[in-house]
Amino acid sequence: MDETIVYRYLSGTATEEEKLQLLDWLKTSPENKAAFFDLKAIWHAKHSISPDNRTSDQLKDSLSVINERIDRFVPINKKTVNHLWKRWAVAAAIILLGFISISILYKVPKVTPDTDIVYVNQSPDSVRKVFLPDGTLVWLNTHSSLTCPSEFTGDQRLVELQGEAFFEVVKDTLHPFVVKTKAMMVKVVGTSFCITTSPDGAISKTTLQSGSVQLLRADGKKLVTLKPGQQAVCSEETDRIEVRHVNVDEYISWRFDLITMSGVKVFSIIESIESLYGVNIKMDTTAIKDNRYNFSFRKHKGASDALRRLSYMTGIPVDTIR
Amino acid sequence: MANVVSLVERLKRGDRAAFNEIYELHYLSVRFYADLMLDADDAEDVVQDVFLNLWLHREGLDDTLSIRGYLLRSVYNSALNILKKRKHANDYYSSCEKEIEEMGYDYYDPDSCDIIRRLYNEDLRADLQAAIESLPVRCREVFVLSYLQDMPSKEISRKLGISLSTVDNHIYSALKQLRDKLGGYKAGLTLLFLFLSNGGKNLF
Repeated sequence: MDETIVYRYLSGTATEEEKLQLLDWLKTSPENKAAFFDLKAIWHAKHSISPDNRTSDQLKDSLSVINERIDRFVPINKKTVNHLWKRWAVAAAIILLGFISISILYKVPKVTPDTDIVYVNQSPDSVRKVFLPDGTLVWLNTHSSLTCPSEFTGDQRLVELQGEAFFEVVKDTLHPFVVKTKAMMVKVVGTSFCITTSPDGAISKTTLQSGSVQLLRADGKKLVTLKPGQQAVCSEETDRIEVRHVNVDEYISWRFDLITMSGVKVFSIIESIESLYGVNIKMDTTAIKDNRYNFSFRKHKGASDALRRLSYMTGIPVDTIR
Repeated sequence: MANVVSLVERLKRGDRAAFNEIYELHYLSVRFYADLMLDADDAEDVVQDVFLNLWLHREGLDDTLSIRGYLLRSVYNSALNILKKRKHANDYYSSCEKEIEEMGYDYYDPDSCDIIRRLYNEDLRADLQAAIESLPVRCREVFVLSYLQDMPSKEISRKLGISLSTVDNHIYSALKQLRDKLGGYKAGLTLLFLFLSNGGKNLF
């Protein structure tokens, strides 16, 4: 077997024929198997040898989540019992009030409330672009949601974010744009920035590309004003914010990792993947040549992932050839 | 290693700061290891569950415990469970690829796999970096473009003006050399064994 097939398999450009050859070669001897999987492990290790801000952020985020999970296991000790009692009392009062207000509601004719629109991106691997009523463009990352009114009325343009989004805000000095997260609020006039919230919402990170933003605590108290190239990390519990200079592109390039094609025929998709990765694709497209598809994939996941998705979407086997 | 032992002691006494220190020392390596077998979401879940268990069962921990070894082993066992359950679920992969990947599951046992121990138990990432630096110049030039910049072979061949098969050969050769350099301990031992079994006579 041409052993460079190993490298082509690892980089996702091996043909089906080559994969079969590799499989046979692996089954031939335990030395081959060991050699291959050692090389695979070394190949995989490439992500770990260039630690950057992303990895230290990953550690911090993970650490905060695990601590939150542990906190749910903390046994109640004597000190907190009194506070608990007060909390139960308050909760009971609220529930009581709740019952009362509900019964009142049934007697009074209902006024139609403003409808809020919630934009959700639940897909695991694509970015959603959303235009808000004022023309502001929001790039909503995976597992994120944005709530905004169907129309901006009032002094502020107020939206709520959970997850991660990049904002390109339309300038309107009379009506500041405010993004509310669990940990804090970000107030802007016309500007480009990215906000990330940790899964439990307790920590928010704001990265400013251009313009200027003001960070406020949930109750409106001013925390800090950011300049382009700065990033602020806010925690819900403390007033402390960390501000530091970052390479902004590192934190916002996720917008462009996604390649999206809408209403295209399969040969366009094939052409894009071929030129992007430098592979030759073999696919029997006679049955589907006039079909139009919406297709998207993440560049960094590599050719084999894109081809797998193409195959899954069309139901036709896809292969690479040399 | 006085520091490490006292960390475990503090952990056993329920010291949360000690737990956080342990997390900071071990999370990235353990998570990178999990990423080898699982996708990002599963990997994060498994790693978190393993650390959570470490905390919940802290009182029963052995003072001489190697925390890293314990974490890697726990991640490995959880990963195997998930992989075995998912065996028939994933239609994305061709059956050939599935078979190849499955062969690796039992290979990556952290207690028996040298390369795993060297990469994740002993944190030899600095050694990996040094090994890359010590590759022959041309080989390293090609390898780094592929390995660190994710550049496809075709682009490398265009950029450096060399044939595609030369590119593939350089990269494959680099990987093999890295494997040899990282397996240094074993290779050295083998050499020593050969030397001794020759009665100390000149091998050459």
